[in-house]
Amino acid sequence: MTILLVVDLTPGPASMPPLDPLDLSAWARGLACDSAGAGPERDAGRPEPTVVCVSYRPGGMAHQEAGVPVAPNPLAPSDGRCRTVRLGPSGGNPEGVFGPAAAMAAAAAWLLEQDGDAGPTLAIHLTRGDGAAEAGIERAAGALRVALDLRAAPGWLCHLLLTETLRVPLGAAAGGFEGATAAESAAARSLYRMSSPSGAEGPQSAASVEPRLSSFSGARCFEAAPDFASSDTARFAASWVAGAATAAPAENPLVQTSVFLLPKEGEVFLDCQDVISSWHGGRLVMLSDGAGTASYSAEWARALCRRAGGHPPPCLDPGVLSGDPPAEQLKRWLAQAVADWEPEVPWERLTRPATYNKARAGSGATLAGVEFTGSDPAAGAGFRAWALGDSCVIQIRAGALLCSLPISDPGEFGYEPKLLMTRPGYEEKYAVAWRDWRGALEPGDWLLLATDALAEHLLRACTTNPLAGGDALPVILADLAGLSTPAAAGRFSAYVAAQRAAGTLRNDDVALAVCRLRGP
Amino acid sequence: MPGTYQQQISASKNLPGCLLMLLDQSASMGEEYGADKRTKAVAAARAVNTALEEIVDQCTSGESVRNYFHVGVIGYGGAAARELLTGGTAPAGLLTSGELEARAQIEEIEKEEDDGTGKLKVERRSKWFGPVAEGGTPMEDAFRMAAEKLKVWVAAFPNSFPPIILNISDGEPNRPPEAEAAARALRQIGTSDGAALLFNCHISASGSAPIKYPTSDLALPDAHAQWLFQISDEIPESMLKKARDARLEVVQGSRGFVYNAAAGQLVKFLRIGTVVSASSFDR
Repeated sequence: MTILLVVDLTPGPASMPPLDPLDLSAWARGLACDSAGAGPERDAGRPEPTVVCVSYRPGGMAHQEAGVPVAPNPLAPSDGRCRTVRLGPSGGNPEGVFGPAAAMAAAAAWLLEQDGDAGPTLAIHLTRGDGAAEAGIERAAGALRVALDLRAAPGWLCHLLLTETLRVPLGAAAGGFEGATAAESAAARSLYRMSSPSGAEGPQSAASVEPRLSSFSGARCFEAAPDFASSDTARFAASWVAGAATAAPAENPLVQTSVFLLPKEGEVFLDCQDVISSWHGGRLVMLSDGAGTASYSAEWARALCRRAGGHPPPCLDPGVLSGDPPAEQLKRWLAQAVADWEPEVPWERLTRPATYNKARAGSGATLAGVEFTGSDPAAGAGFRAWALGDSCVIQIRAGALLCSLPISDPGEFGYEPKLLMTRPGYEEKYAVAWRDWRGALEPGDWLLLATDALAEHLLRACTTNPLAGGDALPVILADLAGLSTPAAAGRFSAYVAAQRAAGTLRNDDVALAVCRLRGP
Repeated sequence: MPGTYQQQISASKNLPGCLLMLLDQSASMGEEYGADKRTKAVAAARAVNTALEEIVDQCTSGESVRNYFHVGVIGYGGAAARELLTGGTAPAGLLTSGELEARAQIEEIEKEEDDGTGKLKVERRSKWFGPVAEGGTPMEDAFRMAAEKLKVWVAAFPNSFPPIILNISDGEPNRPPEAEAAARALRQIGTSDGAALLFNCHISASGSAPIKYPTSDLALPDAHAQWLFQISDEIPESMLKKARDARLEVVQGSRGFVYNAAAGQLVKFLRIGTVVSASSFDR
């Protein structure tokens, strides 16, 4: 288990002792050990938790002015068990801004570099609140949540606001910040929004770890208190992450799935509006592409994936359809995703017509997913797939296209795909456009989930003469075959860069899941 | 200058787009226009505001307005052309989309809709310009001023998508031959991706039915419209697909010209990403 601390070193009032990264690291290690159980269970060969600390001070040069040493390598270990990251003015921060956004972006970058090695991870941001309204902090926190969600292991982001006057206990709902000053209230709202939902669905529900939360549906992993050491939220979050890791089902024995996500060339993960995730040991894989010209699209795409991960969409396959009409079933299913998205929008800060009207207009995102069935290697794997929009599920057999839905013609991709929207009233249209089908994955088959740019690229390759050159399907599949290697992320990144440079892949965010039957 | 017009407009790759709007503010714009008896100047100001609002909307994401575009507005009326938006940080003093948004005045419009408390719903909109109608029509001066600005801009962004000039006028320049020559010179400025594109929105007092993106001037009702059609560029192939996706009635050979129709539509060609549209289900 990894605990990733993001620590605001701003001095608080005299009555509150300064935060020391090494003290915090010891506390975090204690959290991780306690959550792993007591006594013999903890000592039974369980690996030592990793604690990584990124510290910052809003206002930039404070470290040097205060004479605090700045590690030349921001990720250099400071003792054998705790790695302390201190960002200096040049610590991976091109704009010279040194605050919580940069620190959270650095934490996200560190996590992505681990390539899955960090295991179940709890990120805890401890702050006095001064930088909570800093420009870019919510995007950076969003990137950190993307980095946490991208791995197969569970991951959460928890915010602790350290203040003498404001008390917000674990499980409080948004807006319950009475008695706070305007600045505290603004900080609390912002940090609350950036925290992982504590009611998150997963292998083990939050309510089963912390029964109090069963009555706080949608509450966040946020707490405001004077003291971090007695934080209920941190303890609960650590036990949830550890518990979720313990209860996580074993990897899908039949199907091996690799997932990849890359932002547009020239952009960073903070800007990425594609989301991809794998649930239940790879039995459920889905991706979503948030509309680039709408506001809060990445948030909507994440809400859809969380919803689909916890409760796959209703089965609308005409052959097995039962119960209410499809539109009604979809309406109910989407309502929870919309309820999950709405608190992500900082309405109180959208004071200009341009930003407010844009957010009011709502967002849209595609959704495509696959749910694998079967556990007997001799019987092979079946699957149910569903999709709406221009994110595609593509099945390739014997080097040729077997099926691609919802789009099979590369000429059909455009700028106005069908999207699931945050605004209600389109359920009848969704029901018509929704694709829901079942299939079987045979040895040698490729099942690919891809957002539009890569789906178009793959489908174009399917119609290209195999002898025509480098963009033919067999060549692409040969490249993709290497994605099961340890250096998969690097290979995928190189492949995408090469295709973009050659003009055979549009410069768009790219999400890809590669699913194949495991070998004998 | 042949071009592919394929370059992607990108803030992160330092490949911004450029939109220069030219607004006719001459005395003839004070004539009444359309069934509701508003003046052509009111319609022209609305057209500019709508187009600018569309640009800002495209660039808005969350709490920020990303700098996908550099924008300028030149007015022409009286004796000479003059800049209506100045002091931006982009080359030639153009405004970034973020600066453009920051310059907007906020206009509150009551809608015929209950806000839930028994009052009329109030919608807040961005607005930059009001109507002006005075003096002659120094359109050639506006074209020359635009050319000087664009020369500076393309030198700074030689590989960007070519600039687009959107001229909103009733098509009655002081000196048509000079205006035509200045337009020709303006359209020769370009980037590695193609020559600048001059699109025109003709506001006519004739009250004739709207005509959008024609391929010839045969159906246009007067000489002013025909003249503006002649100085309008053909919509490049790469933009036709975006225009069709936006359900604009374009065909191969369509010119960037509308007659008595909304100018805001002309900037829909500049779409920069996936668009949320309920009508996508109707295709």
